Amino acid sequence: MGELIQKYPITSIGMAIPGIINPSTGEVSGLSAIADREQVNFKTSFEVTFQVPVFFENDANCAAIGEVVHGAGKGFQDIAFFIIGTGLGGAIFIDRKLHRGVNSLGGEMGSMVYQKPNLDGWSNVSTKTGMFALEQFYENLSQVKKTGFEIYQAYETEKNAKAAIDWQISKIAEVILNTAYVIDPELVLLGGGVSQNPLFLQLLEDKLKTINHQIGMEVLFKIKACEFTNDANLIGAAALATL
Amino acid sequence: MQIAIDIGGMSTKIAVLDQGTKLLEKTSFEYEVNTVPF
Repeated sequence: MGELIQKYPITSIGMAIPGIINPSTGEVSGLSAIADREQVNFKTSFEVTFQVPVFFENDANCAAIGEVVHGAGKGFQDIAFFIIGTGLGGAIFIDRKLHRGVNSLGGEMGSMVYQKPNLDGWSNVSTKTGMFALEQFYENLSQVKKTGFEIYQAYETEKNAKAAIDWQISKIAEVILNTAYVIDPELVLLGGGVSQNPLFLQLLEDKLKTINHQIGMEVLFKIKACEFTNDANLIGAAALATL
Repeated sequence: MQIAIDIGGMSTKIAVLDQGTKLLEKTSFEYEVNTVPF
C-alpha cells in the first residue's frame, strides 16, 4: 500500500468490505468474513497511516455503485440491484443515490424472510435463490454433485438440471417482483457470474412476464446484466470518493 | 487516481484505478476462509 501511494498520485482509498457498514464511523457489523471486525477500524487506521481520505462500503453495494456510476446503470434514476452469488445480495438506488435506511439494511433483499414448508420455522430468501441453493436442490434431486455452472450447461439435456434451474429462477423472480412493487424501479440490474449467462437472463425475463401475467400486471422495468464482473467491487470502491 | 481494496472471504484484491475504470495495477493475496489477516 505504501509503495502504491509513493508510486501514484493517489487521492483516496476505497474499500469493499463484507458485512453491514457504517461509512461515517468505520464500523463493520453483521455477518462478515472479517473475524475481528469489532477490533479493527479500517477508516481511522488507514487515514492515519496513509494520509488520504478513506471511503468504505459493503461489498455488494460497491459492485452496485460501480455499475451505477460507470456501467450498466448509467442514465437510470431508480435501480434495484441484485447480485446472485453463493447467496443473494442487493442494493437500491433512488434518484441514483444508494438507499441505506436507518441501520444500513436498505436493499438487503437477500434478508427478506419466508416461511419454510410445513410451517417449519423461517429463513431468508438468500438461502433459496443463490447458487449454493441451486446446487443443493440439484443434488437432492439427482444424488449427484454439480457446480452451478455445470447445472446451467445441462439445462437443455438433463431433466433434474432443468427442474433445479426452473425452481431457482422462480425464487429469484419472486424476490425481484416483490422488490419492484415496493420501489417501482426503472431498471433491474443483475450481477454475479450467472448474470452473464444468456440462458439465465432469458429464463428470468420469461418468468417475470409469466408471473406478472398471472396477477394481471406487466413488467414495466428494464432488465440488464452488469458490465463489470471480476473487478466490479474494485471499480465501485474507487467510485466511492466521487459520490 | 484511487486505490481500491476488495476484501473477500478467501482473498483480498488491491488495485490502482485511473479515470474510474482503468486498472493500472492489481494484486491479490489469498488466505483461508474467514481469516482475513488484518
